[in-house]
Amino acid sequence: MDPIKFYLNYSFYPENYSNLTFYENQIILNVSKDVASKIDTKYWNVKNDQTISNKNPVSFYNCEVPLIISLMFDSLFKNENLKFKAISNFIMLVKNQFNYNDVKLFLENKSGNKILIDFAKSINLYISNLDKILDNLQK
Amino acid sequence: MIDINSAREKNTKRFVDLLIQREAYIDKRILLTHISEDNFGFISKEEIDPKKKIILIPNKLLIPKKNIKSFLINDKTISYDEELINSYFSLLPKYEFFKQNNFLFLNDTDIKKCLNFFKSESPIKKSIETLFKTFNELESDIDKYVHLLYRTRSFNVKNQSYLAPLLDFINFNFNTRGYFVENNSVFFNSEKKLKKTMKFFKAII
Repeated sequence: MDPIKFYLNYSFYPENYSNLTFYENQIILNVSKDVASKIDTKYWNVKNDQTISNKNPVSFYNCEVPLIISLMFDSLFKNENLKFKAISNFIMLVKNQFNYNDVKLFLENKSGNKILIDFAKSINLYISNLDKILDNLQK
Repeated sequence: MIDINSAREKNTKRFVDLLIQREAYIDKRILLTHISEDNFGFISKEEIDPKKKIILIPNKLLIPKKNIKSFLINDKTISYDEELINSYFSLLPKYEFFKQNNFLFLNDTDIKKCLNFFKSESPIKKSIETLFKTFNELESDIDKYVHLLYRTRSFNVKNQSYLAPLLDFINFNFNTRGYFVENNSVFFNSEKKLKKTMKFFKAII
């Protein structure tokens, strides 16, 4: 679950909700054929030789980076920096799917109905959670 | 056919008594009460220690979608506990409540605004478009009402969605573990000590 899914299900703004889950096959990465051939299939599905995706849901509770992330990426990169760069890049991709300026502007003006305002707040919270995950990756 | 917008006589005591008669367990120190329009919740009448089972619903009282729909369209070809569903239904939000408050009832202009928060290839945007499409393909208001009841209140037990009378009146909390599924029942316990007159909460999991 995450703030956006929560809002879409229940239609109320989940204030302070700081969890974020990527369900199976949501984390998609392009890797070389060589890397794909050595991948740990306990954690990854391999498609078309060069595209891999997560086999299990990955949950960031309180925006903390879970141990499974480290285990998943162990078979991809030996170098810790590369590992965390790949995770950060994925989180940035997720973040880039929003027109964040439009969300911020809308929330500043608050000119829509309550449902739309609460939905925009949920997106804002989702993005804020992604930022916290990025911060935690740096630690 | 049942009118999903009509005013309903709300009798929480009768509803709770019916469940107890049917082998549900409810701690005597909690009370189902009216919290706001179209919203009920529990309060504790006394202190309750953590880790105690507070509410337990046997699986036989879980309500699959087809039973609620049969009740609403007055279909007698399926067997279900009409007395219980009738009493439960009286405490559920009216269809109009969803029309006023649910995201899926946004008008076309607002849907366009909300989709503009996303870039064109966004997976979340695509999933929202599918959500609206699926909802708008439902043929009748009854189908939409049932869809929304299950979307907002159902519990997943052995990979099936059920309404669990009583359990769904516990409000949300994000920091507890939520409900627990056993072989023959679904139950809720409190992770923390409940103080007197405290509203209590289940988690979303």
